[in-house]
Amino acid sequence: MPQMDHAQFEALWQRAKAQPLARRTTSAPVQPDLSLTGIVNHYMTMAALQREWGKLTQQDYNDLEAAVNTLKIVLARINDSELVAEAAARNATAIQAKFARPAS
Amino acid sequence: MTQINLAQAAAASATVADIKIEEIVLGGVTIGQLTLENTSLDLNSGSAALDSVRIVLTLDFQFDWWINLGFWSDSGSADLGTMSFAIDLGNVSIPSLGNIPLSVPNIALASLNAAFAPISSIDLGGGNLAGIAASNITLPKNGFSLSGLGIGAITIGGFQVPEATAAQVSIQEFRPNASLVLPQATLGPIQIPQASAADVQTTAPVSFTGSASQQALSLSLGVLGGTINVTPTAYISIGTLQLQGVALTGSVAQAILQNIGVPVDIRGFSLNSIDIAGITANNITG
Repeated sequence: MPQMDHAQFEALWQRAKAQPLARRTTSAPVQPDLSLTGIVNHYMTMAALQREWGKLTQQDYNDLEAAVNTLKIVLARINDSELVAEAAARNATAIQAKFARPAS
Repeated sequence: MTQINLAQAAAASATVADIKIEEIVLGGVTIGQLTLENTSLDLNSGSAALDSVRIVLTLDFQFDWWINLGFWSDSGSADLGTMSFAIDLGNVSIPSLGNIPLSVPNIALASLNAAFAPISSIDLGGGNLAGIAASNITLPKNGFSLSGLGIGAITIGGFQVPEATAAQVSIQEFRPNASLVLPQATLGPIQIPQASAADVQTTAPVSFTGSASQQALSLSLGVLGGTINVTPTAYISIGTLQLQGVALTGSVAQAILQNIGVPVDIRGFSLNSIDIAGITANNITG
């Protein structure tokens, strides 16, 4: 723990008196792909690992992949990612309104 | 008047029946090194007055989060920032203190036992003799007789006297050139009596920092969760710190004094009833 001299304490004291919250977070927000396309992509990655470990047969994997590819054609046509992003933005607004506190 | 100068004289042996020294004056003692071993000091009681005490309390927040959906998972850490609070405590009085190490400049010690190492091979490096007087010298001791001889001037290459006596030799002052060196002295254990110190007051503001261990608050919602970590740090400033009614006790297990130098001045040095055997003198002129 580095010690500070009196001049450094005075500077810290004045800053703390003027603004109690000295520093805000600068971390980047987490933006996972929550579209159905993104989810099935993650799902197929997991299924490939299960096939390698012998938990899933090659035939089952092939059937699963064919079904997913058919689904992806439809998802691409309806622009699945944009639909989910719009829904997420609406939900975020509703959540902020729910937990918003009046300014003190 | 006839003078006899002895250029060189030597005696084979001599005995002295009585040696008296009236006074030995010791000069300022010099100590080469003083070592205090296992010194312990205890502050028995005392109070403290702290003026203008201010604290800046800072809380550092960090959030460790995780998401686990089975087919997909993620985790990370987010710096939530810092909150600082300025707290003015004003003047603070502490009624009793303990275990504060203090340095007291002077402590009087009494009734100490000293153990000195044996002194050997004393070499005072010569010295100055003043006021030497010998009386009632008989040379030779058993006497000789000579008649019908008158001498105006004489030079003798050398002579030997088998035995001589002197009733008394006195030396007014003998001052060795070198100090008497005591190689080592050991004191201890020494119990320091209770000593009171004047009030101690700082001359400048005192600032210091203390940080507590990290505190954590965890939350798990099944597929997602996280932990909020808080690290509090206190920055403290004391305008004036005053210690009052300070009393100190302690002990020293052992004190070692090394290379003790003592200048010596020997006065009133007298030798009585001296017998000198086998005196040889060379180059005597008169």
